[in-house]
Amino acid sequence: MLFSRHALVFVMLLAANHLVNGQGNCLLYRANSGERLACELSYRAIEYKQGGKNSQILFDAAIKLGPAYTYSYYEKSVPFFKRGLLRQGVELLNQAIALEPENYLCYRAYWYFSHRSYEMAIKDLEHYYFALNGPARTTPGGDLEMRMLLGMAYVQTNQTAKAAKVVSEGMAGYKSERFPIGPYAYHMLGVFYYKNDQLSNAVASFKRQIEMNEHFADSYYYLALIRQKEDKLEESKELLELALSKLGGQNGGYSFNGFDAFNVYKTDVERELSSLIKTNIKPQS
Amino acid sequence: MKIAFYLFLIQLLFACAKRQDQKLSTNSYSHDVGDILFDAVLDDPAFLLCDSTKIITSRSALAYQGNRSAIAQVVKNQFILQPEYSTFSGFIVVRFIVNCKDQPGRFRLETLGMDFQRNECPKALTKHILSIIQELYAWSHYMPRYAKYDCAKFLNLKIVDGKIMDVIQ
Repeated sequence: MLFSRHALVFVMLLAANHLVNGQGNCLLYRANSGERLACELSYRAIEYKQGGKNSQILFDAAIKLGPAYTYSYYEKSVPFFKRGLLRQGVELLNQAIALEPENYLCYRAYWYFSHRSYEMAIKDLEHYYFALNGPARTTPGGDLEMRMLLGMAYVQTNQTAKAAKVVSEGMAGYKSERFPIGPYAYHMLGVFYYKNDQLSNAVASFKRQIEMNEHFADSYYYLALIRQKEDKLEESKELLELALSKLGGQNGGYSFNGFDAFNVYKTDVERELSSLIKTNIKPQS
Repeated sequence: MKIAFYLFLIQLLFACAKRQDQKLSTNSYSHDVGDILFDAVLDDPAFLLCDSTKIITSRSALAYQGNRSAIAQVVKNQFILQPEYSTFSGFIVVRFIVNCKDQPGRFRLETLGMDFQRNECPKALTKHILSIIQELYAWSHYMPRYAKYDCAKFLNLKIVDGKIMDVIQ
């Protein structure tokens, strides 16, 4: 039951993301206007393979006929980023951002973040959330709200206090439990509290995450690290074993590689477990 | 009346000329934006593709030494830091193709700032990075469904003060 609710939330997030970054209705533009033509051509372009010849020709025609229609720049930029042509991608996207920063800053931040250009991601996301007061937005895959990327970028640049503050305040402002909380928000908040040594807040957040989705392995791993710090070694060991079984896919368990440097891998859990057994837990007599 | 007719003709001529202008030349487009076309100056003519019209661009198509994430450590292990590299912080992006026989070729390198705009980098550093990546020969197709195809690949090295911080793919 829990998992199906989780799946539903995920689909809703994806749908919401599509609405925000989607192309919109071409009839909103005046007939024969540049924007209308560009919108119609862009609709034709996305019928072809992304990055392929036909798609690129149609997007170029759209940009030529309707240079104020931002979606063409954005959508044309996507395959460049995906193929490592970052300069060409950002040059296109910058044109969309110059016209509609509120709609495209998060996408640029996503690519800066993906390539570990944390300062640039922070700059874009702070501008979006604090200067433009932008509403909640998700990553292109729909898994995380962009504030989580801002939080991770803060941690990577040694601003852990800011990460915990900005994300907890942002989440408190979410209007619904379903959107944009998302499937991993409490886990991320827990990680930021953990990194900022706010351990009781971190425990509460991880427990909330497990209540929402008991199958997600990573939260058990972080809880185990906290229990180690609190010298509750038996509990830590149990949690690590639980994390390991979830990572191994037992009983619906799984992990998700969307957290940059905070991803949890089987080798991390095994390392913690073996060092815990070797050094701290005495054999039962 | 005659003048009006000539004026109309002239206008028509301009309209046609303008329309011609608006036509886009489609010859300059490759099959895919990520295609790396053969360059006689840069590329080894012995490196052949199986089908240049069907290059796989999926970022998870290739593995190194049988593992998708092993490449970062392999590149870092080969890197030898030199004092003259320390002036550079930014990205070194190397794009190349691994053909259907798991051979790499057609290497292209670009240096960027943290904002993804062009950025100058000491030549010795780009030369060193390129030679490391050109000498990697343990590529393999990670997904069986792509086994018969050539695959496009990129490695993005995040450099801070001349040191490799990350290898992003």
